[in-house]
Parts: sequence; C-alpha cells; structure tokens
Amino acid sequence: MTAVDRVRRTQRILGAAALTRAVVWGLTATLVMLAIASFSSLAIPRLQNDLALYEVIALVVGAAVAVALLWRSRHFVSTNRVALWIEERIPDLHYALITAVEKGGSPFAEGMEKAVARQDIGRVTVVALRRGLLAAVAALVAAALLLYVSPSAAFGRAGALSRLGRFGAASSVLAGSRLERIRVVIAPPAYTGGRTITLDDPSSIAALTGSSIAVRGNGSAAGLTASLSAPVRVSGANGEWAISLPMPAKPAALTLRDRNYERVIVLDPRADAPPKIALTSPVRDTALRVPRLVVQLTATASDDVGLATGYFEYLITTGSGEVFSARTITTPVVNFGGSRSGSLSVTLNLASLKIGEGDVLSMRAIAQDGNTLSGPGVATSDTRTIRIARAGEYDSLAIDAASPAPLDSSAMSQRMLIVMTEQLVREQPKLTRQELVKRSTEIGDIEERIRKRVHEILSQSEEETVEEKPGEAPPSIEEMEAPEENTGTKNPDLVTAYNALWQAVRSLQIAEPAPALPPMRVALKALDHARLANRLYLRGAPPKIIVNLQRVRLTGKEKGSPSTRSPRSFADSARFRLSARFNAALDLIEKQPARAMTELALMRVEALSSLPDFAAAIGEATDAIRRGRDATLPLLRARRALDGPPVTTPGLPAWSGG
Amino acid sequence: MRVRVEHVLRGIVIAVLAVMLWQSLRDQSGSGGQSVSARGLGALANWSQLAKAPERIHVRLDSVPSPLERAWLGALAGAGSSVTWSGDLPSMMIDAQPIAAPTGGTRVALAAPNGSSVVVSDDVGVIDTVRSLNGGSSLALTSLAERLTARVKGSVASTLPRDSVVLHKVLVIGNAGWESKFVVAVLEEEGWKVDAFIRVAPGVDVMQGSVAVIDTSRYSVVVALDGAASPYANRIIEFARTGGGVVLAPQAASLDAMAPLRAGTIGRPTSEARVIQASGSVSLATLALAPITSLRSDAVPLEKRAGAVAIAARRFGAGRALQLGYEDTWRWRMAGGDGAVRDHRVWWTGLVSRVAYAPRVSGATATTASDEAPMAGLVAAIGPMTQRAATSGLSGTPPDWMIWLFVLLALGLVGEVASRRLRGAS
Amino acid sequence: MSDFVFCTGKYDSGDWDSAPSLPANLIDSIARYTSISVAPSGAIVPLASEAVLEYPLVYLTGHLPFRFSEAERRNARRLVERGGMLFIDDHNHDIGGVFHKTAMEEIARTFSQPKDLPNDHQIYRCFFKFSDGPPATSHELNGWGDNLVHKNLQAVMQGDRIAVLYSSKDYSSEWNYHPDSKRFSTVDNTRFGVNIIVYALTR
Repeated sequence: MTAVDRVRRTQRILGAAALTRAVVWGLTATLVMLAIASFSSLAIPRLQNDLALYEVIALVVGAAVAVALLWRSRHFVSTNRVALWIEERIPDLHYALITAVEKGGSPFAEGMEKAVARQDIGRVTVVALRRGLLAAVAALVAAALLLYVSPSAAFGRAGALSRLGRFGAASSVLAGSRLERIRVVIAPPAYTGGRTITLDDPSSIAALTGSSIAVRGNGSAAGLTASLSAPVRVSGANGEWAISLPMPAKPAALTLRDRNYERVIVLDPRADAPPKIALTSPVRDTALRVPRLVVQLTATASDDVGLATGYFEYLITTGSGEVFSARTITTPVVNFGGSRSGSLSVTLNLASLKIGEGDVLSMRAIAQDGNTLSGPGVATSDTRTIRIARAGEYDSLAIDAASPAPLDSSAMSQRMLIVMTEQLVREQPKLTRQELVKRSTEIGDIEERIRKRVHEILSQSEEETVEEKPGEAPPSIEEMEAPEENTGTKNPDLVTAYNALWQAVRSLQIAEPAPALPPMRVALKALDHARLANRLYLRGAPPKIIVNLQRVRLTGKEKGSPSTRSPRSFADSARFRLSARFNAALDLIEKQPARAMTELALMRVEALSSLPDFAAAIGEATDAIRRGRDATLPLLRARRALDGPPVTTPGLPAWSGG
Repeated sequence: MRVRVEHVLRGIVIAVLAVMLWQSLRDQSGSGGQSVSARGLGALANWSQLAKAPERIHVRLDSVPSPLERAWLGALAGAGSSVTWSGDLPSMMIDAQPIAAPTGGTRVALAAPNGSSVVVSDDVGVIDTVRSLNGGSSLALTSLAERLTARVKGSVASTLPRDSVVLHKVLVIGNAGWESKFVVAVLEEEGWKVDAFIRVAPGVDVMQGSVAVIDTSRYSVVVALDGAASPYANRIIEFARTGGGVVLAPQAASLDAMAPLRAGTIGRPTSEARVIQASGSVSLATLALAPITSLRSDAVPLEKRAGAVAIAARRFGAGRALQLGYEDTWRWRMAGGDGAVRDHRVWWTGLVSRVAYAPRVSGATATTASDEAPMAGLVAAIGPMTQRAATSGLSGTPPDWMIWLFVLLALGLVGEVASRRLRGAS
Repeated sequence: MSDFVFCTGKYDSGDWDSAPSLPANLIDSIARYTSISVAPSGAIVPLASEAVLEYPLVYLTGHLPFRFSEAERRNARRLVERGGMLFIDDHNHDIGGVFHKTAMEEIARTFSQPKDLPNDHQIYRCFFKFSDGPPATSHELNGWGDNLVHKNLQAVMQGDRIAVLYSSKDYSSEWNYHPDSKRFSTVDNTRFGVNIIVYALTR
C-alpha cells in the first residue's frame, strides 16, 4: 500500500467518523430539545398542544448541529490535509508522508514510502477518533435517558413525575377496539350557512344545537352500539361504521360500546343566542306640549349567527284616571339577509300618529334572527317614551329634557352669523362699497332663511297660517291677528326672535351691518330661550301618609293563624355531588382507568352548563389521558374549579371550634 | 526540574489519597473510634452493623428524618450510643380536623417558623403555598385526596385525616323579618337541616319542625336572633351547658335572660349601614355593628372591625356560645357585590360550625402512619439539636481538616495535569 | 334589627305612582294584625338604582306600558336571584290591556313565563286563610276592565318559592285608600296584602 493509498484510506475513515459524529451529535441535539420541551410543558401546558411544531423545531436544530459539525470537518476532503493530520499525530514520520503524497515522483519517494510503512497509521487514526466518537455516543445515550424520564409521550411513557400520568401508556381505548381514531363531521344547521367541519378523534363535540353530527370509525358495525338518552342506530358500509344524530339542546354523553370497550364522547351544544338590539336614537324620554315633533329613530342589531328581520313598534296609549286604550303600529320590516349586524332607521313625524293631549307614545325596535330550528330568536330594545302633556298639567309634570328641537340649528347658525357680521364690521373701513354690499347681502340672505324657518315654526303652532305675498315685506307677528284672538298658543320668545330677525335682515340687505348686530343678538337670545322653554315641566309628588303605628298596633279584629314553612333545598348540591364523584374518579384512575375516563366524561356533561371551568379542565384532563400525556395539571385545575381555592387565614386561629 | 515538581505533586496526591483511605478503613474497623459522624443518615446501617456500638454518634441533618429513621436513631441511642444531631431544620406541625358543616371539608392548622413558605399538597398534587405568620397559618379545604403533606425546606409533615363528624339540625328563633328569613335561607342553602320558629304575631308563628325539645340529640346549634328567643332562654342556656352551640345576634344578646351566654356587653352601634357604598355594594365592612365591649375573661374575640370586637365566642359548660355584633347581615346578601350570596352563606356556615355540637366519628384505621410533627418526634427520639461535633467533645475527624485535605488533593492534581499539558506532554 | 319598609318600585316607562295610598294602607294592616316591626311610611325607590336591592319586597303597578330599561331589568333579576320578591299588579284589571300585555312580555323576557299559581299555595294560608285562592276585588265584581273575575294569580317560581307574583285582579285599586277609611268597612279587604308581606318575610 503506497503512502497515497494509506492517506486515502485514512481519509475515508476520517470522513466516516466525521459523518457519524455529526449524525450522533445532531440526534443528541434533537433529543435534548424534545426533552426540554417536554419538561417545559409541565409549566406551560399549552406546549402539549403544539407538540408537532416542537418536534419539527427539534429536528431542525439537530440537522443544523449535524451540518455545522460536518462543515467543521470539511477539510478532510483534501488528501494533503489528511496527510498533515496524520503527520501531526505521528511525529516520527518527520513529514515523510506529506512529502511522499506531494512529491510522488521524486527520487526520495522510495525512502519516504519505507518511512511511512514503518508507522501504524491505522491504529493511530482509530485511537485519535475513539475519544470523540465515545463522547458523542455517551451524549446520545444521556439525551435519550433524559427524554425517557421526561413527561413526554415519547417511548409511550407518560413521565415519571406523576403517578397519575403513568397509566397513560395504557390508553383507555385499547388497541383492537373499533372505537379508536374516529372521525366526526359536523354540519351546522342550514339556516346558518356555515360550512362542514371535520374533527379527528375528539373527546368532545361542540356545535350549534341542531347541527347534524356524523361519527365514523373503522371496522364493521356488527356488535357496535351507541346510545344517548336512547339507543342510536349504527350503520356500516365499506368497512366503516357510522352514526348520525342531531346535536341535542342540552349537554349529553354519547356512549359507544364495542364488546368490552367503551368510549364516551361529550356533546356540548351551543345555543343560537337571540339577537341583540339597542335603540340608539332618541336617547331619552320626552314630554311635549303639542305632538309636533319629527323623531329620528335608529337602532343597531347584532346576532351570533345571522339576523333575519327588524322593525320599529309604536305603542300609543290614550286615557287617564282608570280608563286607558292602546294601539300598536309597526314600521315596514327590514330584511337583514342573514348578516351578523345591521341597523334600522326611520323618521317618525308625530303628527302622522294623530296623538293628542295625555297620550303616551312608546317606541322600541325589534329584531329577529334566522333560527328556523327552535324558532326565531327575538330581541327587543329599550323603550323610549314621548308623553303629550295635558293643558292642565303644564305646571305639574316631571322635568324631562327632550331631544333637540329643530330650533337648535337656527341658534347655531345665528351665532355664526353674528360672528360673521362682527368681522364684517371690523373690516368695513378697508372694503370697497361693492365688496361690502356683496358680503352684507350674503349674510342677510342666510339670516332671511332663519327668519323664514322661525316663521314656519310659529305658523305650525297657529291654527291660521299667514302666507307671505311675494314682493311684500313679510308681516311681523304684531301685524297678524292680535294674540288674544289666536286660538293657539304663541311662543313669545319665537315672536321676539322673528321680529328681531326681520330688523336684522333689513339692515344687512342695505349693507349696514353695524345696525344689524343688536337685533341679531336679541334674536339669538330669544331663540336660545325658546329652545329650552319648550320642554320644561314639573311633576307633582304623591301624597305621603305616615301611619300611626302605636295607635293601630294589634287592634285588628281578626287574627291570623300559625303556619308551617317548608325548607329550601341545598343550593350547591350539584357542585357537592360532583365533588364527591370527582374524588371517587381520582381514586379509580390508577385502578380502572377506562372506567375513570367514562366517569370523568359523564361529569363533564353534567358540569358543562353549571360549572364551565370545571368542565373545560376535565376535558383537558381526559384529552391528556387519552393521548398518554400527564394529566396532573388539568386534574388539579379541575379540582380547583370545583372546590374553589382554599381559604387561607394567616396565623393560627385562637378559637379551635368547628 | 519541572518534571520533578510534577512528580512531587503526584506524590502528594497519592499520599493524600492514602491518608483518606487509611482514615476510612480506620473508621470502619471502629478500632478505638468511639465517635462517628456523618452527614445524612446513609451510614445508619453501617453503624448498626459495627461490632461494638460507637460511643458517640453525631448526624448532620439536611432534612428531618422519617419516622423509621428516627426510630432507628432512637434504637442506636438505646443500644448505648450517645446520639446527637445538628442541622438547620425548621420546626413544623400539621393538624387536620373535619369541619362541622354539611358540605364537610377539612380545616388544616400549620405551625411553622414566621415568614416561611409552606407547601401544602395531597396525593393529587400541590394545593397551595401559604406563608406562615405569627407562628403558623390555617386553611379550609373543601376536599382532599388521602394524605395531606406540608413542606418547609427540609421538614415534611404529613397527616391522614380520616375522622368525620355527626351533625344535627340548627334551630333558628326570631321575629318575622328579613334577617330571620335570610338566616334560615342561607343555612338551608348551605345544606343544614333547619328547624325554625318565626314569630309573626302573638300566638301566630311560622314553624318549621318543632321547638318542643332543645337538646343535643336534636340540634347542633341554636341561632337566637332577637326577642322571640326570650321564652326559650332557659332551655337554650341548658342546651349550651350540655354541649350545644349557640349563636346570639345583637338583639338576642341584649336580652337579660341571655346574659349568662354573652361574651361581652353590647355597645352602641359604631356606624349605620349605608344604603349603598360608593362602590355600589354592601359588605361586612359597612354593615351596622353594635360592638361587643367589656369582654368576659374567657371570651375570645374572633373578628374585629376598626378595633371594635365584632364577633366573640366563649365556652359555656360543655358547649360554646358565639356573640355577633353585626346587624342586618341580610343586607350583605341582597346588596353586596358579585359573589355576595355565596360569601354570606359561607360566612354564616362558618359562624355556626365554630360552635356546633358535632361529635367526632373515627374513620378507618390508616394503613400508613402519619407524621404530624416530625421535629417533635426527632427531639423525642434523640433529644434536641446540639452544636457541631467539635464543641460537643467528639474526637471524630473535624470537617475543616478534611476540607483542607481535599483542597490539597485537588490543587495537586490540577497542578500536575496543568504542568504536563502546558509543556506538551500527553 | 331594622324595620320592614314597604317599597314601591319606580320604573321609567309608565305611571308607577298610580296607587299612592296603597303603601300606607298595607303598613297599617301589618301593624293591626302582626307584631312585625314595620316602618310607618313606605319608600319609593327607582328600580334602576341599586338601592332597590335593600328592599327584598318591591311593589310595582301601573296602567301604562310596562317596560324595563336595561338597568331596571338587571336590578330586578339581581333582586330575585338573591332571594327578593316582586309583586306586580295590573291597575287596569284588563288582560287585554296594554299594562298586562307588556308586563307579561317583560316578566317572560326578564325571568321566565309566569304560570298560574295554584289556589292552595301556602301564600293563601300563611297568615289569613283564603281557601278559594286570591280574594276577588270590588273592581272585578263590578265588571271593571276585562269584565272577568280572575281565579288565579300568576307567579314565577324560584325553586318552590314565589319570586315574582303577578296579579290581574287590580289590588292596587282595591287597596288604594287612606287607612283611616278602614273603619267604614266591615271586612278589611287588605288582609291578602298582609299574607303577601308575611309570605315574603318568612319563606
């Protein structure tokens, strides 16, 4: 064997060793990562749910370690480097090997070969590699041991840290039963428009009440039974068995039996909640003197599945003393088309309802969802009430603030016009006549519109309307019929405002803004006053009678009779019973795990509506047990949810009674 | 030269190892070695097998020995050795008693050094971690699985509660009103069987059960709310004398006939129950309170509010009486925050169970022993802790000497190996 | 120990104060026939206020639509869940009338659908004996309102206890007079009111 041959042989050995070491260290890194994740899952239970992700991460880390080590050993691809490596370990070669490799054709080659042949390169190579390989193998064994003692499901163990987890290796659904690896297909009710969902091997099924549930498993249907509150038919085809049933309205346990095997699946129904609707406008109740108001009604609705229709309802009550009558009016129905949220809006003119003094109008919004199974869920909003005061009650009604009247916008605009006019007055010396006229008449036009609006409102409260003839200056209220001849009630503030506005308009339209300001301010004050004055009433208090107890005590002619009382029932009896059953189930876990699983599943069904935290923790525990994981933490949480936290009192009690 | 130094270091290492080997062999043979010492109890078996019992045995403990180990040490002491121990071990104790309530439960008392954290667990897992204040802490557990364990540093105490209690009915006597209605209601809702006598008018009562006989064969507790209990005062007092429990609301406690049972005088109300607190709920802190003043010498204040005694209890004959200062507790249930209904129920159950006549029934004998006070057991077996072996007169190998020997060994080894490595030798 | 205070609930949607003399009349009856410690005048408490929770028995009546606001509904539920009782009486005596229709709807929405209370229920014998169930009112006998004599009251039960007692018999009219006027009657028509209060205080 020549020197080159020896080097190449050594190179192969080194390469194999490097590859082996890289693989072993990579495996070690993977196993260590899995062990870390497994131990961490004790403190962070949700890690157990992402096991696949952590397995991938561990593999990636292991691969990265292997690649890194291989990269470090890359120089062994060069025979010269291998030769140098050998020279380093056999100093007696005195570089004969490297010379022989590089200068093969030299006259000294034979001498070099002989010098090389004298050395046992193979033995030296093995000795040099041994330690590194042994270390790698030892690390792999240690990592494997670490993973073995961890709580992970690796190697089929549930971990040494809890005796409660130990039974997990013996799955409650034994191999050989047809109840393993079932599939559940959930089709929500048609009216929801939802899509079908498939679950793999679930311990519980949560779905809308009325959903169609199909449970399938491998194997024939012969000998397989299923029951809810009554037996459920099991059908079979194509090597599969199947059960179909609707999701019941209350939590239930679906019990599957295959010979001696039993499996309980918890059915957790979610009811289609009725919609919610809120009346957003008007925001409060109101009392009016006259039924002249335009009310903007708006409402917002929402539903967990889908809204169907909505409308407003008006309930008008008429009467007084002991005699009342009522009528109901509804607005046209709005179709929401199944969307989860929607809004309603309508404008109501009180005049159209023909309500009079003493009448009460109650308004509310109503929405329905599209539940065609148990009937549409109906939501009604809060009610807003508008009372029409009687003439005799003006001084004796409750103080209620009404919704903003149409005059509000007039007041704001009037304020703005005053500001504009004041600015015009300030700038007047700098403006040309043309500009002054233009701006003054613009303000005057807006003021005119306000004046006309006030005139309309005044006209509505009058039985006679005053028509303005085009070209004529509009009459002031003083020029109309004398107040005492009017059959209606004139608002003096509005009258003041009207007259002041008329003066302001005249001044503005002849480009005299300064004289317009005083009447504009008078109009603003009057409009403000009118806005508030329309809606203030006072309500009287009912008479207070104080009984003279001493005078009447035990003076009644008749006597009562003794009676008996029946006891109330134990309020927390359900929790108390569950607590006893839970403790019994904990005792069963080691001795009869399958029976314990069934008992836990049945308890979960019972607790779904009354103790949801307990039910959820039981669900986690049964899932962990079925998957062979440690169930200690969820069982502790279940107990805490059931019993509540212990009541701790600092210090030793001074009283030992109890 | 360097090589010689290395040889010398190697020689020192070998010599030290030889000394240590000689020392251990000498200890094993027990030749004249009348004093032995060890850290931990791993050497118990060895000591027991020595041909001649050591004169002195000292153990340094990191944790309290188990009952078996304590018994072993006691046996060694009984065999003639003077057994002493040292170690930083916290004293602790655990006691578990059944709660006298229909819902059962266990009241756990823990004694541990102030400020220490005690981990309480049972066979399922950790129940809670409590901090010891004023010498201990207590917990009320609704349920527990088998053995109850408490851990503080190196001390582990355990107990196996097996006893249960026998409970009879509660008798409530009061005038028709919200307080009588809700006191009866909460006790029934908590599972108590209740007899009630509620006076509506002269000769017109609402009855549940019978008040003909008030004794401990029928009732565990009598709750007297107000003047309606006056005609029954003598019977109630006799009931308490023979072992029964009595709860007196302020109006009942103010009756002259109930004076023998009182824990103290009824003071003037310190505050009125406000209709609604700023936070919108009524609680114990805002209920009207007629404080209990001039406590009897044997009365134990159970609860205080702003320095005034709100609840006090005392023994009376074979029974117990509890006096309340709170008035109109029903307001807490009706106008309290979320959870007020349950809190009010639990509070009333707590009051009643504190005085209830509840004879104990022993449960099945435990297959494994409990160890409620391990430190006390250790002291009982081999006496209290002593100082280190050197000050107690033992002539065993002092720890310091061994430590220096080990340091020498380590330095020698490290020096020799480092010197060789640095000069390139293998 | 505090007195029993008769509470009239004030709600926003209707005329809650249509029977202002009823509280004093029933307080007078309680004092006449029982030794219950009672406050000499009643309280008017908004149902929307949490203060109503300090009155475990609340009386509600009216002629107009009966609708709870969200706050009123919340408090009514809390009152009942914690052991209190609502007594609601239709002052119209009209099952076709707006109060009855809206009240029934509101009770069903807030609690559950009220059902007829059997006439042998203990509320009819807890103090005075009414062997035929709820006593008729003069309005009923005079053909007022719906021209019916209602044989039963309705109730929402909590366990076996009345949580909401609903009456279409118009006891609000029957009892809405000054207590001093009792001297003109041979039979005190407020006795059933005593039963309602005694029931609330003792069951």
